[in-house]
Amino acid sequence: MSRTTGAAPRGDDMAGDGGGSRQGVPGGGGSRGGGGSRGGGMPGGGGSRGAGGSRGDGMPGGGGSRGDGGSRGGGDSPGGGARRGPATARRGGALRELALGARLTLAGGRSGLLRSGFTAFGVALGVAVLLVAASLPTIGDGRRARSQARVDQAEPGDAGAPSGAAAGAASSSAGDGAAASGARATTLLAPVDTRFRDRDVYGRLLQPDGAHAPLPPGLERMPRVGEAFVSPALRRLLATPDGRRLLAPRIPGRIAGEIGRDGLLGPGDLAFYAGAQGLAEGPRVTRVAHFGSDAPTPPLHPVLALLIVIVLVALLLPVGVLVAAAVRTGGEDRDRRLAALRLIGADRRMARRIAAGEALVSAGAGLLGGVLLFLLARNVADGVELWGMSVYGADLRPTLPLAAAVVLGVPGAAVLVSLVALRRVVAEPLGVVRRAEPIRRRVWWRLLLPAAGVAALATTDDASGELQVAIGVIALLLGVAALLPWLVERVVARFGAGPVAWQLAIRRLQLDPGGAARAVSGITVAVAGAIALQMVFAGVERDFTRDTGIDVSRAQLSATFTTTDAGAVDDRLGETRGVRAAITVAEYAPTEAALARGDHRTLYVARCTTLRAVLAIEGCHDGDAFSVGGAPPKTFAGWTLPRTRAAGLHADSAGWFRAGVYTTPAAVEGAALPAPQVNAYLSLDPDDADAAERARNAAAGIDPLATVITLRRTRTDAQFAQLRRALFVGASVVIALIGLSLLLTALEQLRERRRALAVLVAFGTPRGTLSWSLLWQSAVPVALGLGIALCAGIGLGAVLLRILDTPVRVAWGDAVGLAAVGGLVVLAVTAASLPVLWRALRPEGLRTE
Amino acid sequence: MGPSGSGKSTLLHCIAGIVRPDAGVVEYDGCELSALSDVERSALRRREFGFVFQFGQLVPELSCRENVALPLRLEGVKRRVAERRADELLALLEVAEVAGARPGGVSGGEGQRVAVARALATEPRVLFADEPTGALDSLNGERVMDLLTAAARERQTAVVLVTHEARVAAYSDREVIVRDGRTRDLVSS
Repeated sequence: MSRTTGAAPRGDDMAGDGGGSRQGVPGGGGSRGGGGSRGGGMPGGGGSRGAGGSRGDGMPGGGGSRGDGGSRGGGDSPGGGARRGPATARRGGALRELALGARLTLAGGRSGLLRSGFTAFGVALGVAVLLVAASLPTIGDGRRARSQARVDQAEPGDAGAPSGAAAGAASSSAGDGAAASGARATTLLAPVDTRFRDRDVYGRLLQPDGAHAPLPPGLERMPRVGEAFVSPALRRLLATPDGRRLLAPRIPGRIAGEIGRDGLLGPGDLAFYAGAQGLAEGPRVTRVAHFGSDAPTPPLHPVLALLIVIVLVALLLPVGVLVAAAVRTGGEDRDRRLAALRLIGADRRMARRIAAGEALVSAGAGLLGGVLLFLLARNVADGVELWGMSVYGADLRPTLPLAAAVVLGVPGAAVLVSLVALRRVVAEPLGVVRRAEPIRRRVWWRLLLPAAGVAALATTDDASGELQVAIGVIALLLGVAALLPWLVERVVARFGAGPVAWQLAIRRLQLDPGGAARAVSGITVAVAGAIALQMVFAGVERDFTRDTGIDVSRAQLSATFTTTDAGAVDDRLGETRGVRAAITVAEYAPTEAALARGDHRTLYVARCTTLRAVLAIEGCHDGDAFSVGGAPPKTFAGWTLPRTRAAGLHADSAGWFRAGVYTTPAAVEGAALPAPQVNAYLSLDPDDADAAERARNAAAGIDPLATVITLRRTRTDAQFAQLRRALFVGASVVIALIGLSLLLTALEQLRERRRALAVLVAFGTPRGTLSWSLLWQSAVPVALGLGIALCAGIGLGAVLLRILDTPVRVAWGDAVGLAAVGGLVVLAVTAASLPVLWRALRPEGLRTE
Repeated sequence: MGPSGSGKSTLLHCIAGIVRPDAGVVEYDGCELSALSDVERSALRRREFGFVFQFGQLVPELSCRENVALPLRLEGVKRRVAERRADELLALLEVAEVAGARPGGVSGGEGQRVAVARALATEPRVLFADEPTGALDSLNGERVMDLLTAAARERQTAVVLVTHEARVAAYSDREVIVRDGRTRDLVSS
């Protein structure tokens, strides 16, 4: 216990065990002081008498309560309440005390309202994020449904139409197609997806076939030839100078309208539908009977499902920690007020209920604010894009069970946290509150949490699954938050006094290590979770990444054309600015008969310059032919081959070229060969940022159905990549939230300490000394928090990787980088709070008391 | 001296250079305080003045010894030297036994004596005291005043003291009555 000087009995210690405020036994005669049996004439409420004869004195505002343990039997309450049974009285008293707490919050003047406002705002931020999280299922469902809705379903029997219906003969065959289809009411569709910079653009050419041709979702009518319907995001992009110059040449036709949201994945989706003519069924053109697929979504890879659980836990837990920290904001003011109430008779239970009432009001206001913030987020969601992801505000609809959990859970948790915070409050005369002598924090139970977490994770098997993993991760990360106050206390206890700024900071931390730890617990948990996730993502990335074997130093783009004139393609691409070299080859696939014979040799036709780049040959003239991989066949698709020279392939890790016959154009002149597929591999100028865009435009100019692919050394699974992007989005939101919450906490602490700061300034403490003191006060717990986050994050990552049967590797650079981000957030917040500190340092602050 | 709300503390804060007066001039040692920058006024308060308030003046996280040593340390005195000097002052004010305790763990009277020790640490020329006994019982209040005046006399430190209690005002050599924001009377004892 702290040393006391007043007349307050030891029994006033709210934390005390054997104090005077023993709990009364309802119905038992002569119970002493229990809040339960008192008739409780609280303000505004008429006092009632308990059966045990407790006396119903009022609380301040309604008469002074006698809650000092000396409740007496008999006697009407001042309010003159009716007699009621003990249980009713207890309930009534509890409600009145809760109401008093609420009134104290609202009637606490500017200072009280400001403090409640800080708490409410912190809770509101948390609630808003939790409601967004509660909307994730509907966001996913909406996106999936729209994605399914625009899937083009080929007409039964028409799928994989013979490749002989070549696009090259499109115009001539168009009429045939129309005639054949008659009243079938189908749409001929060609995918013309492209990329702009690092973003995918969904594109489809549409040619209605029949009066009732199926319409893609989001379109009011079929685009006519020369028209394009674009998504709003694409329209905006096309309006930019870059978009006009480098993307518009690829979008066929003028913009005639916008695609509705039914046809888009999200508000940031780049998509267009353009009208076309002359399309004919073939490898690139499908006859679509209807749009929309009801095929079940392929199940998520078990590892990805597990990763989703971990991501959600790791991102949402810091939000919970922040809400808890927000509820404890302004504790000193509240303790002082409660102490005053205790001194005039409120017993421990009453004080707790009053505190609960206060917390309930702040949390309720926070809940309301959170809902408003969430609604605001819904309104602006369409215009927000993070890491290439965007969602429709309309999709932000929390599912009912999750929304109910947030609405009921947050106020409940707020009350619980505020009651826990009251454990060591001591009331003394003159309304002064002192903390009980700090009890040395024990480590054993703090270690139980991470130990339980590790145990839960270590015993996870397929049967126990994701729930056990979630429990394990939660326990481990909560263990980090629980260990931090102990660590801060132990470490700062060893620090001695240095320069004045350091001394002020360290002594402050020694006085209230719990408060310092609480302030950084959110960022600590977030960083620990982020490090673990980073390790897990890096660990399993290999399983979701395929090595393409492509040597991207040779070519960075590949393009496939439906046109047959490889020479023209070569010329057009070669003269495109930013294209350093183009390897253009007309590729003739082996015939069915050859394949049946087991002959997979392909015929490649290209100019000598290209052949020299592909083959290890000494000389080449137009008319030459070369064979790779053994003796050449005598004929190819009925064409008799000329004499060939044996040649070898240059290193071709990507497998673009295989065994077969390589000839120059003159060698096949006049040969009756089927239509080839023209492929081009482009090497771009690395110093020209627009080279790829120009090459794509050139390809589209040669052949509107050309497919251009960016070549990559590795290819990552789409779902995995999307989850990782979602992690970045979530982490960005959580870090911003943590920063904002930290700033609020820092400002509230400055407000609470303004008197002490003003005194320091009054006797001449320089501003710089106090600024440095504030920085040290942040830096020390942050350093400790990030240290523990590093250890816990790596530990958690290692355990999770073991669960996933993946070798444990620590990417120290990433881990330290994440910790550094956390440190930077805190330092930025501290720097942002300095102007407020300087304002608080005015000696005029002395006059506010 | 004057009743509560009469403007005593405001006057004291103006005289001490804590707040700028709306009108009038405060001169110290031939220098007009309002003309000084914030940094200059801070330095002046640090070197020339000492302060004792009614409550809440000790830095709660520092021990009583460190509180008393703080003004010296701000002046660049080495910690050991400053704390030795603090111990001497705490002994002079009869609170040596609480040197290692934090302000939250000492009584109101002890806290005020620690505050007086701190105010005297830099041997100021003027000590400003705003209701220094306001939160103390009469016995403790008298003891604090005895020690404060004795220590100030010994160091030839002028004390400007604000109070609403006649028995505290009785310690002064010169009394100014403040009522409704105006000095109404001047009494020399």
